[in-house]
Amino acid sequence: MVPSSPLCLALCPMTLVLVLGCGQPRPPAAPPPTPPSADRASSPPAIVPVASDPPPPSAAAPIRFVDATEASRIGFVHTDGSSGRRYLVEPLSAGVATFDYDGDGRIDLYFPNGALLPGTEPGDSESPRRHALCRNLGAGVFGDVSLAAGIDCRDYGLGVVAGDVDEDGFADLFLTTFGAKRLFRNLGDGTFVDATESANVADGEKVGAGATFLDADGDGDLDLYAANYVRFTLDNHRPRSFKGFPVYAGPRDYPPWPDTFFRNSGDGRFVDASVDAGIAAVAGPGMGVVCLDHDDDGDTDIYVGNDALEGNFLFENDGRGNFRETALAAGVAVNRFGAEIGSMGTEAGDADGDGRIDLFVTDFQPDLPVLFRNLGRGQFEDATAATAAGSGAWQFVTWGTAMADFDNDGRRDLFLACGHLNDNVEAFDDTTAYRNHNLVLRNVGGRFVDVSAAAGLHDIPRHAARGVACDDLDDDGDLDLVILNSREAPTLLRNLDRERGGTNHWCQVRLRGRQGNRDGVGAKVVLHAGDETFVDEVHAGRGYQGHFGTRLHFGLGGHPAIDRIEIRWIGGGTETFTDVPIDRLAELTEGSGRAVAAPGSSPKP
Amino acid sequence: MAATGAAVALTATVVAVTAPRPRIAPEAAAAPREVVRFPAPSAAVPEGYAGLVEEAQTLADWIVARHPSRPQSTALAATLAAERGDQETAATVWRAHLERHPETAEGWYRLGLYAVKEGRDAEAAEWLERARRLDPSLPDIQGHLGRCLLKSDRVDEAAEVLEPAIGDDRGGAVRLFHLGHARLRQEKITEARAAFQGAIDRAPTYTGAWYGLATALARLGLADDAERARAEFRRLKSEDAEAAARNLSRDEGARMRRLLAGWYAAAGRIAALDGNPQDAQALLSRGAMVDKSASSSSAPPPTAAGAGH
Repeated sequence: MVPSSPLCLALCPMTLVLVLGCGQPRPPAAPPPTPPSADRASSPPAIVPVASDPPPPSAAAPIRFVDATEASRIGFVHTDGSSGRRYLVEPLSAGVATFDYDGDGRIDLYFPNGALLPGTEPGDSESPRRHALCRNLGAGVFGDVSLAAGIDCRDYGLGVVAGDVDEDGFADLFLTTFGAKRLFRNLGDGTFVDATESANVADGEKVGAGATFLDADGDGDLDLYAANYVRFTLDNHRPRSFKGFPVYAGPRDYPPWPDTFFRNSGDGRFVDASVDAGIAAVAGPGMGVVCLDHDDDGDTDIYVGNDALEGNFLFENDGRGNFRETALAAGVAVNRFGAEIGSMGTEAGDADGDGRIDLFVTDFQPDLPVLFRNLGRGQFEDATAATAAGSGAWQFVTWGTAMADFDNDGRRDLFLACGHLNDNVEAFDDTTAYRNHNLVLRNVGGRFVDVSAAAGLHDIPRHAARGVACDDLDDDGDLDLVILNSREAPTLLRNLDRERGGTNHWCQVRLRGRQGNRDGVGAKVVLHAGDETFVDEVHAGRGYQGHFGTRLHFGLGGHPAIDRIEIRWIGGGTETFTDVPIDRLAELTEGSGRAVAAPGSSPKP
Repeated sequence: MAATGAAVALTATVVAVTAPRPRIAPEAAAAPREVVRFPAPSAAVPEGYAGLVEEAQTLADWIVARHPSRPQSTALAATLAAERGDQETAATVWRAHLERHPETAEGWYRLGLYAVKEGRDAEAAEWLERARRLDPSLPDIQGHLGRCLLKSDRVDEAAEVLEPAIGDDRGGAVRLFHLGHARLRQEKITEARAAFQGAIDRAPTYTGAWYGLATALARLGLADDAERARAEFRRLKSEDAEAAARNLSRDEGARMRRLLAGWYAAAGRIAALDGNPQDAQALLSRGAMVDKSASSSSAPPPTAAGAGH
């Protein structure tokens, strides 16, 4: 969260020089005092608006979302505690997760929630101040099953990631909080058990952030990386103000925590290996985390967005789970001007279709989010200006993000969740607002075009959005979105691509590891169709402190068939699948060499 | 106190100028769904600051109403609005002035800088180009224009503007920095290296230039040199962080008072030029009073370095 400084030019001594020295003196008997009129000024003949930076979209509204929140019956309402004292943790809010917790083929939702803080007025006593696990019941409806599933979590939640840590075929849940971290083990019968203590993942009392599962050492089980923010406690709270207005403290006000790396012992326990693995050698105010094989050497590296200080981290894996921080040399620590990024969410995907995984980082207003293009050999360049990847974002604080193909044209678009952290920002900055519309940037030939209005995002109630998760929630072949809004109910956006007669083909694949970890986390998937190649990796933890997309989705454009899919498994070899169907979900199991069409969904009881 | 009294009577005539147009649509606050809301903190302005903000607004209103014909008045009113964070009003003031006096280079210049601030780089380049044609001596006009062109992906034009304008002044380092980035985009890596090195020669603690130099050296395959440049970048970054930490304890209230005192002095000069010695004296006196309070008053709490924090 890079500070938005006051209008510095107005503070320069130069300003007064200009005021007194630049204009041509005019006689006192000037024209009568006709104050300039806002109406007149709105269309002055001398000022012709010039074209805005991005070109207009080449096709009419190729991406369209509709607000499906009300129909979803999601009853969750986020609270940040709203203490009135402006504790640092409040505006962080939380990420959100989409994952299939009960193995029924439908993507379910998990919403972390805040909690009471000193100073919080209770408000509506009926309001649940707990996290929510919402089961996908089909037909766009979700039911809160938190208590029935054994998750009665009232910790101050900040981040969430899902992963099958015990390799039993069901995704477990790891939560970061303002306090101890939590692990809920999925028992496979629709319920979870709190395994925090037995798994040894509490990690003291910290301000947690994003987290990610990865098989760091290729031993077939999932290790865990958890970013930490700063050493804030309720006791060292610092009231802050800007231009006389109370604002939240930020990362510069407290020293950062080093992040935590847990190695999976394979016996249900994790060992804190932060020091041994080289993670604790550096410390920064971590937020979003995403894994990728940035140098294409077959192991999983970790990219951490740090909030304005230290630059972002890229932990390069030596293949045995030992890491070296190399972000600066790789070109992903700071933006092209050498300035730190107020990093919030981090995302990895092939933005330019060159077969390499690029990185995208959201940022604090008025700085733009940053797209780091992967040049190969572990080197990146800031391609934000060249690709217009920050279009429309300058006035927003951007948080959650997803790089996903919303119109199935084969090119990954961008979604950015927007909302300021200060609820009073309008009082001292007229360029932004606390609640904003979100942004969708369509990838048109490698350049991003802001199509938010055409996509319907301006018609949807505005919120202070934070985490975003992107998955095919209604199993219709296009990617939907769920957004956690600070202090309010979430937003569920249904993608209308299929309903509007979208003709592009698509393919979804779910990996099943045998030698490697069960969900294929970290595996690289290369899809060949005609003369095009599509690349993705399986992530567990991404965006702003959230989780989504374990089931990979490829838009295929007009390609009527898939020639083959190559998978490089973590800890295993490379395998080719040639019989993968299009326009449906296929399950690819390690070692089988053949794709199995996943069973169709049927309504739940 | 003449300014305050005059402004009260004239408020109605200037309201169209000073009422900020919200850039974000008002429906932003409206949410049709019935949701349970937890109480949000109020956005009250502490008493001491509220007075300063109101006083600055009053001064702006008075200046424009009393001396509408002077470009200096427009500049001051716009500057006051911009300092409040109200760039919309500042831009409106200048646009209205430019309707009548399109030859005012500073107006285009300021509109360009506001657009820069708001990330509208293509538009900013347009305004700054107009300003440059009218008055190429405006402060760092080439640097601002070159940067806007670069951010608008008009890389060749940016280089054309920047290269002949490097000069020997302090801003030369910044222009070289942007030229270095233009050269990187043009894949003229050797020239990029020279530009970044030139920026560093002029300003050895220019952190961003060290990063640019490291990037260029790495592209040239000079790994050891690139690493040395990165090491210097890291060292300077840590110093930047310390400076930022020091800024946290800055006295924002005193700074605002000093600023306001300067504006009163400027307003007094305008009044004097217009042959209103009484107004001038009143304004200068008020400025001196505000200035005195800046150095002697007990300051409000220290503030964060920026709006975010």
